Amino acid sequence: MRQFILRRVLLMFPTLLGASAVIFFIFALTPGDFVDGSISLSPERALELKALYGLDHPAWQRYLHWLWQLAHGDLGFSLQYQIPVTELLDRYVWNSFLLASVVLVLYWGLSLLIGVTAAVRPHSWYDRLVTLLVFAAMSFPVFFLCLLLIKWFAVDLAWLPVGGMIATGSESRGWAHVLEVAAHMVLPVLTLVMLQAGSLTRYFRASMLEALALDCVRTARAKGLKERTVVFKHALRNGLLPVITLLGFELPGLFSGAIVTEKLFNWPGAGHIHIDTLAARDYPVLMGFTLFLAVLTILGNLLADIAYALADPRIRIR
Amino acid sequence: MRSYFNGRRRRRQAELEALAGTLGRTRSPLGDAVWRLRHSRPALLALAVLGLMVLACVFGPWLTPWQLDSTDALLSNSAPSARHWLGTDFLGRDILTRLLVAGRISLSVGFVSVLLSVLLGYTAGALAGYLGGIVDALIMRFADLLMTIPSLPLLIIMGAVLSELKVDPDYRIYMVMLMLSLLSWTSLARIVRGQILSLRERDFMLATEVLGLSTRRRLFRHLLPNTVPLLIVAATMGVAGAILNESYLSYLGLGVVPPTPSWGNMMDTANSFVDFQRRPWLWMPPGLAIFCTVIAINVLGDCLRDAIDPKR
Repeated sequence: MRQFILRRVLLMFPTLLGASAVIFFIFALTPGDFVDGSISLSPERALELKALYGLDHPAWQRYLHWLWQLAHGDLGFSLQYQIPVTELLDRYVWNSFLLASVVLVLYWGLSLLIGVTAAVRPHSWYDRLVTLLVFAAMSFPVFFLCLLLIKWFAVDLAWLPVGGMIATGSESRGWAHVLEVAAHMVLPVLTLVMLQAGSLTRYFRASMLEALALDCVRTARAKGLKERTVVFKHALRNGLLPVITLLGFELPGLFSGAIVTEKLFNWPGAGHIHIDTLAARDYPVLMGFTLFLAVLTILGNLLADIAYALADPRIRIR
Repeated sequence: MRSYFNGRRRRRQAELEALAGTLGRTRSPLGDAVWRLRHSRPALLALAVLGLMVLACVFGPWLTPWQLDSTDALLSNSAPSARHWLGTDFLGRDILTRLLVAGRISLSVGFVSVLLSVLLGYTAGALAGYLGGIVDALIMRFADLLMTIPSLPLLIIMGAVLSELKVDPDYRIYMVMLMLSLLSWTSLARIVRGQILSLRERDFMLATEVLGLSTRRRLFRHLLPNTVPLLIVAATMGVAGAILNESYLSYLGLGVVPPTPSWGNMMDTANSFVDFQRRPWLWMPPGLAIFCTVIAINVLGDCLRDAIDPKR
């Protein structure tokens, strides 16, 4: 097991290096940069700024410089916000994390509940309804769902705020502040839960169906155990394992921020920053953030692999 | 004596013919899948919706009395009526006509980009799976690399590059197709490679080797055709994903840009609060069109998977 983990960890480094190269050169080959974008600068001043930001060096030198900085934990300096990228991320990523963690708990719970209950009675009307809803959830364009929810619940009925994290100019403290943020969170959370619960419910249902067909479940039934014991003690444990390992893949999603949802609900998270910095060609932020996500993705894959190997010893042999 | 033998021979002949009859009636695996598909109600319903959508988008624009770009200053932003079934936009252009033309664009972006990524993914996966060794390692490591970078941020960046390069709106559609396929071939390659690796070890492949068939024949007649069913399923689901991704990009103004209409960029009007609140006919129809198309494709893909692999 230790050798398995060690090999996977060692494999991470070349992948990471490759990902950093891909990310850097996509940006480096893009025509136009932060200085080119502002039209108010005189040519001399533009050249000066380019020299200041190191934009006058060839791409490979800038890549090495960037790597050197990364090795020292420095993601660069945001040109638009004029603060270090790490500070900028620190400021906004936690808002995304708040949103994503609430969503994660809700949609895993919901999917588990719905998936298992649907699998217990396959092909019943309840199962068919669930299947239909799952397909609907998988097929909604994110922004369309956001728009519909805003239109109905925020504009027409005016039950909930349209967007943002707090009301404009609000200075509430303590419980009032918590309630205010919670009210602003309802719609984005609803959107994300609805969209993500779909495919996960399918996983839970399929895995549970497989578990219910196992020999040990038949044996449990033959022993005359109560149906509830059979389903929740014998089948559920077997059915949960393969899906639980998917939790590792959720890691990047916790911090990445939902780009479209955050933009539409004006949520001050990482996804929102992503779009804003893109408009300003603030490449250090974009590169740092994309790399940050790649690292989290690789870590998430590693976690999922390890979890799977722990759960199923047959995997380790490969 | 002779009649006895003749009688037996005749009987055997009849038996053989009966056997041939039943053998003739058993279906090939693909025929079997088609038969199962034709007997599944959701699949037929999905096919009907999809067929209707495609027909409407292909022939609809010729049948409407309105031109795509004909403006009518007196009738701007009018609500749905008998004249304009889905109302008009801020330039007085007929929404229904634009919706149908946009459907042509969005559907073709979906289909063509998946076609491209199947081409790329199939070649890469087949090469990796069949050749193995260093080629396999190189291709799959590169695919892993692409998979570690989240795709929506990358698509958005590539969309921004297109804007920076001032690509002509007419050409942008092709660039968007290319972008979508460049990011989605990896999962297809993985599926094909996995299939080939497992098929290679099967007894029928051993049989082709024992029979001394040429490499070309073994590859193109026996190995590759067996990977097609799963590929069809993955490609179908891929079309749904591509249509959704195109709509995100175009909605953000980074995919297909006006004046070329697409379902995504038609919904851009929702960004103006007055249009959003008072004129839902501007942005609801394209959203519903995306939803119906994508759900039909997803259901069809799911039924295809069941039809091809009834064990699941």
